[in-house]
Amino acid sequence: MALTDEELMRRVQAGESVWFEEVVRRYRTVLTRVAASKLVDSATAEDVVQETFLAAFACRQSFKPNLSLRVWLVAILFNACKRVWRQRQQPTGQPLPLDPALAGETGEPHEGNLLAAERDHILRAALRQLPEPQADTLRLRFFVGLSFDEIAASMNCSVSGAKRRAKLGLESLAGLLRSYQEPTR
Amino acid sequence: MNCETAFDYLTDPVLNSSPELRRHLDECPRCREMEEVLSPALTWMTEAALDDEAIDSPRPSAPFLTAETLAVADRLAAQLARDSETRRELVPSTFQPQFASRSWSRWRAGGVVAMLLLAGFGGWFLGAAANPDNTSTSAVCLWTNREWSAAAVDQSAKAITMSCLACHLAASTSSL
Repeated sequence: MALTDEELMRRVQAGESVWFEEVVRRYRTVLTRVAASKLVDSATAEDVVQETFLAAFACRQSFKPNLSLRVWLVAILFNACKRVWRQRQQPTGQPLPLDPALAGETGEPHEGNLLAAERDHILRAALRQLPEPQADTLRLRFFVGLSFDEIAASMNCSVSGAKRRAKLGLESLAGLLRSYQEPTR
Repeated sequence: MNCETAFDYLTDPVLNSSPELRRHLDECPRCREMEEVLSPALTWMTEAALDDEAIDSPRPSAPFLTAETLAVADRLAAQLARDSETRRELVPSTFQPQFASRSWSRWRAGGVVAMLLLAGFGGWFLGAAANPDNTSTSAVCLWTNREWSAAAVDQSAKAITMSCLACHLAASTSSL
């Protein structure tokens, strides 16, 4: 039977470092997805995720079993991303890449012509145009799978505030994506 | 299901196709309208959340953290933390992680060592041996010369860690 997150961390705290590999295995994918969404290039995102795990390992004794490991890791990841931004002084908002070459000339739906990677790129760019709290709420909800209670805890806001951010973020995102799908002819 | 729960379901990549939510949307024009407005965002976010291939590693051949890596990094961090002289030489003043809450000095040293270790874990260091002309610190840096990974022979974490330390210690002392 698989160990729970709390049991895993308890073992890591007790000095059984080998169990941290399981923590990495469980959360590398979701953290990379979130980091890639927040940062411009995937290589940097992967570096930040490694740094996140290293920080988590270094601070393993500060983890409280009554907290969600996911929430804890995400909090570390967000701080690591902020540090990258500060170092690069990179604005969070990036223009949406409205590449006409992707639209095709047949009048078919534009998104049908897009490869998954291109869609991913567009979504990342659109998310980066949202206010950061709204974008982070959506990332945590969809990519990490946090409940609104957990999002509220990790972002230091109320549950209703987290839901409001999600709704506003989705409305803005829908507008951006709609403008991509229906470009002016 | 009430409208509050319906929003939870709508924003859940798995539950947003549940029959319960569909039933609620059939009966609730307000939620139905909201779903229509949010539809592009919900669709793209859900697809991205469920698409595992979209997050493939940009460096698939590069190893990620392993228990051995962590253990070596941890031991070295503890060792370095006891030696303030060495720590001063190793830790650049610009390296200031923001997220550790305790054992700060230990983490600073450990973080640098661990990142060096990770950078070298793929065996990039050993490429430096295959390129004896590269004598400057930047030329032997594994992180900036990743193409050397093909030349890797000995990839033990300990060997690579010590090699990285040697490289960066040399850089520190030469700048004094």
